[in-house]
Amino acid sequence: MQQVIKRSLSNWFVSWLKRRIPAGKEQSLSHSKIFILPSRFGVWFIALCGLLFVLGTNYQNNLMRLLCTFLLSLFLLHMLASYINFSRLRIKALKIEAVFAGKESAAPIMISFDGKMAQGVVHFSWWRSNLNDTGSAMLSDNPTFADVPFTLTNRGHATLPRLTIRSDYPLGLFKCWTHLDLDQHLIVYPAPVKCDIKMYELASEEEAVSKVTKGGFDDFHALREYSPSDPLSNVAWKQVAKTNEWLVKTFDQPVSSSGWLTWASASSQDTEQRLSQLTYQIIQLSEHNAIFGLALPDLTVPPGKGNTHMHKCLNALALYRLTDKTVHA
Amino acid sequence: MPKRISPIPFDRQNGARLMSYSPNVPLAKHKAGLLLSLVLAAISLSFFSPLMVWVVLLSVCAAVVRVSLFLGWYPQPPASRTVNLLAVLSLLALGWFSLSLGLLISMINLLVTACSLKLMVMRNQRDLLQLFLCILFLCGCGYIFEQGMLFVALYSAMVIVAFTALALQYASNQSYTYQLKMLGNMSLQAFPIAAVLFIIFPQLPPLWQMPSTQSASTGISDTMRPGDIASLSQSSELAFRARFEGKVPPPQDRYWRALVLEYFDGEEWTMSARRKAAEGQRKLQDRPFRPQVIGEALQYRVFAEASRQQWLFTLDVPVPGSPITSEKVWQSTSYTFIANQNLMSAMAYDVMSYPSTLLNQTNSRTDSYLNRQVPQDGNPRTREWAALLSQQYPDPKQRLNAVLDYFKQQNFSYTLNPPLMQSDGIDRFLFDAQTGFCAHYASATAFIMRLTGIPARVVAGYQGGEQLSNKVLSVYQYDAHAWIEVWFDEKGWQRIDPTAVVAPNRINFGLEQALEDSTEFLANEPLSLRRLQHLPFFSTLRDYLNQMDYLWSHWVLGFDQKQQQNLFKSLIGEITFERMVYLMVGAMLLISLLLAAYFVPRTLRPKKPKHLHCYQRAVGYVEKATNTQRNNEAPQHYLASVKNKMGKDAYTLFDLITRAFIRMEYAQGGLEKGNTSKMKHHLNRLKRTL
Repeated sequence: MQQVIKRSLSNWFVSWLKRRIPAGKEQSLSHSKIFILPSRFGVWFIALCGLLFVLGTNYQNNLMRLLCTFLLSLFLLHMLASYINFSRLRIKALKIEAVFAGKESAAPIMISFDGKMAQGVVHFSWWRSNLNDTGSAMLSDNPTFADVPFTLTNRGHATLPRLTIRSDYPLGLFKCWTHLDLDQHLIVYPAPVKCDIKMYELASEEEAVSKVTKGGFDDFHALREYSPSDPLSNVAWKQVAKTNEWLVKTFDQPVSSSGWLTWASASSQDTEQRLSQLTYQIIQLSEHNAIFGLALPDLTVPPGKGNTHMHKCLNALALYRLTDKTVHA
Repeated sequence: MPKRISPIPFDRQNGARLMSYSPNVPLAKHKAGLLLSLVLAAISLSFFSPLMVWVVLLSVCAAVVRVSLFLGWYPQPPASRTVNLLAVLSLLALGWFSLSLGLLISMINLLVTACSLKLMVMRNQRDLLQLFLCILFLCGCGYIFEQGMLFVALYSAMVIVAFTALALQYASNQSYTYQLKMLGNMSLQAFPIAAVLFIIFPQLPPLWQMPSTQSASTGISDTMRPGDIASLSQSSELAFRARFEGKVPPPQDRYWRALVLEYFDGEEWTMSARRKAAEGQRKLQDRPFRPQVIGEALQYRVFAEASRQQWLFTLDVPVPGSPITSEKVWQSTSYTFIANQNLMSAMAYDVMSYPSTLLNQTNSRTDSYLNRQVPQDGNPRTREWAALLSQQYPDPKQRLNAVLDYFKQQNFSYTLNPPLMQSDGIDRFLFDAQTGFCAHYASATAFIMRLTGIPARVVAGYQGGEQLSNKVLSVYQYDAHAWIEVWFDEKGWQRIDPTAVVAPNRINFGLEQALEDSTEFLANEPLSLRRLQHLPFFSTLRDYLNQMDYLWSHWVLGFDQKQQQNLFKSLIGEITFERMVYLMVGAMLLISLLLAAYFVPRTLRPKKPKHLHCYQRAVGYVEKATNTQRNNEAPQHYLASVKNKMGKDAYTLFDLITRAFIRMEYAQGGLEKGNTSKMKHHLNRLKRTL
C-alpha cells in the first residue's frame, strides 16, 4: 500500500515537473524552475539563533538577543541573495556526439548568465536515475564550461535524465536547486571488447570466400636507425650481422588492407559480446585507416573509411536489432 | 590496443574549468580556515577573564598550526592520534579545574578547547561548518562578560570576519577584500532588519536560572573589611547611571544604599544570617516589603552595569517605579532592592524614592536585637571608652556627637592608604593611627554605638555621582562608600556619615577633592581618562564617550519590557490585542519593504537600447502585415525579403527605420545612438500605414 502511494506520488511529481520545467536545450532559471530550502547547515544555524535567544533571555542580555536577530536577518537576506544569484544562471547543453556503453562520458554544459555574472560553485547530479556521477564547476568565467560525467551501460538510443543543478552560494545556509530536462538524446555504442581482427573478402553478397585477411601490420616499408625505445623484434638482424649497423624495420600503415567485417569476425557466441568485439575491430581498423564494410544479418554498411564511416558503422551496431527504440537511462 | 576510445573531443572555446567536488578542505592556501583560526585566537585572547591560561595558549597554538599549514610550512596537519591524546589530557585538566570554576566558565573553557582541537584537525567542510557555529556561539558568550561598546565592536567584527570565512569557503575564487566587502554590505543591510526584529521580539523574563560566575564580580561585596572599599576606590569603572525625571538631588543627598551589614565579628561586617533567613521566608511566601511612603518622590531609572551581584542601588526609601521593575527586583526589609538573579548583563530598573519617609516601618524588636550584637571580646580600649561615654552622655544623640567630635578634635585624616591595622583594628584606628578610609570611620562608629547599647548598622553603597547631563548621574566604583544608620526611637533608622565630619569634601565634591594627597586618586590607573580630567581635550573626550555610553546603555543594554511597551504605546497608542496584530503586520511589511529595496534593483535586467526597441516594434508591425517572420535574419536581408509584400510607402518607412537602426547599432563614435526621435516618428507613420 505504502509502495503504491509512494509510486503514485512520485509519478505525479514527475508529471508536475514535466509541466513546470519543460525540456529545452537552453534554459534560463526563471522563478518557476527554482526550488529553495534551508540546507542542513541552515537548520543548525537557526538552532544556534534559538540557543542565543534563550541564553540572551535567561541572562537578560540584550546584546545576545541583538546578535540573534542579526543572524536571523542575515539568514533572511541570504535567502534572497542565494535565490537571485541562482536565477542568473543560464544553462545550455552542448551536443554530445556519441558515447560508448560502460565508459565514463561527459555531458558538456555551458553556463552563461542573465545580467550580472553569478558567483560560487554549482554542483551537478542526475535526478532520480542510476547515474551516480556528480560534478561541480566554479563559476569563474563568462561563460563557464563544465562536464557532467555519466556512464551508460546499454547500447542504443538514450535520453539523459533531468540534471539537478544546485548552488549553496553565498554562505551555504540555503540551497537552491532545479531539475532541468536538457533534452539530450544520444546514441550509445556497444562497449569495445579487445579481440583479433578478422576481415573477409566477400566475392559476392551471398557467399563468403574463406580467405581471411588477418589484420596484421607486416607490410615491410623501410629501414631506419635503431633507437633504444624500439622493440628488439623489429631489429633487422640480417643487416646487423652484415654491416654491424643497427637498423630497425618499419611497417607501413595497412592502407591496402580492406574487406568486410561479418558475424564471423567475432569469436563470441553471445550477440552483445559479438557486437562489442566488432566495435573494437571497427575502431582499430579506422585508426589504421583501413577500408572496410559491415555485413551482418539484416545489416549491411558498404565499405568505406574515415571518421564518418566509423561513426556510421558504430551507429548501426548500436541500434542493431533493438526492438524498443529509446532506452531511458 | 586503442589509445583513445572516445574519438570525440568536445569543442570548447575556452579551457574548461572542471573540478571534482570534494568536501575535503585543502590544507595550504585555505583562506576560510586561516580566517577562522585568526578569529578563534582573537576571541580566546579577548576572553582573558573567563579562560584559563593554558586554554588560551592551546587556541593560539591551533591558530599557529593552521597558519603554518596555510603558508605551506608543513604539508600535514598534526596526526589525529596526537590530537586525540591532547584532547584526553585537556579533558582531564578541564575536569579537574571545573570543580573550582563553576558551570558557565567550565563550559566556555570546554568550548574553546574543543574549537582549538577541531581547528588543528579540520579536514572537511563539515568540520569547518561546525567550527563556524561554535565560533558564532563564542562571540555570543563574549557578551556575557563584556558589554562595553568597544568589546561589542570587537565581537561584531569577529562575527563578520567569521562570515567572510564562510563566504570564502563557498566561493574560494574570490579575494578576501571582495568577500569582506560583500559581508560588510550584507551586514549593513541586515542591521535595520535586526533592529526591527529586536524591537518587536518579546522581552521575556528569564526562562530558568542560569549558572553565573562568582569570580569576576565587580563592585561592593556582601562583606566589608576596611580595606575593601579602599581598593574599590582605585577603580574608575562605571557602577551605574541614573536618569532622573525631575531634578537631580544635590551631592550631599546622593547616598545610594546597596547593602545593609548587620553582623560584626570584630574585623568585618557582613549581612546578618538571621536577616537573610527572614528574607528567605518572606520570599517563599512572596511577601515583599512595601513601605508606606509619604512626601514628594524622586523618580528615576537606574542603568546598572553587569556586576554579577544581586545588589541594586537606591536612594532613601524606595519603591518599584513600574510593574515590570517589581517583577525583576525583590524589596527587602532593609529598604533595599535585590535583583532576582545576579546581574550577568546590564539591567535597568525604575525607582520612586521618598526622602521624607522615615525608616521606622520594620519590626523594631528584630532590628534593635540584631543591631546591638557585638563580638565577645577584642578591642578592649574601645570597650573602655564606650563604657565611659555611656556614663558621660546618657542621651544617645549626645553620645554619637561625642564620637564625631572626637574625630574632629583629634585631627583624624582621610586616606586611601592607611597603615595595616590587623588585630584589634578599631583600637588601633581610634587611638594609634587616627587615619583611615570611610569604612574605618563607619565601622568604628557603629561598633561604639552598639557597645553603648544603641542599635547601629553599616550601610555600603555609593555616595555622589558625576553629572552627565542635567538629568543623568554617572556613579563610578571610586564613589563606593560606607556609612552608618543608627536607630533612634520613633524616628527609626537615621543616616549618619562619620566620614563627612573628617572629610566634608568627600560628600560635596567627591573622592578626588577629599584626598589630601591627590596622587592617591586612581593611583593604579595612570592612563584613566578620569585622571586626565584637568586637560581640556581629555575632559571633552571623556564627556563625549560618556554620553555615547549612556545612550548605549539606555537604548541597547537597558532596553526592557517597559521601554518596549513605551515604544509600542508611542506608535499605536493603547496596547490592545488587535493593535498589536497590526503592529506585527506593520513590522513584517517594513521588513519586506527593506528586502524589496535591497533586492529589486538587482533583479532588473538592463534596459534595451531605444533604437533596438524601436526597430523591434517596427519588425513586429511588418511581421504582422506581411506574415513573414524575421527569425534573426540580418536587418537588410529581412528588408529585402519583405520588399514585395508590402506597400511602397510602408516599405520606404521600414527602409528608413532599418537603415537608421543599422547606422546606430554599428556607429563607431556612438554619436547618433541617443537620437531616436526621427526613428520614432517613422515608426508611428509606419504603424498608421500598415
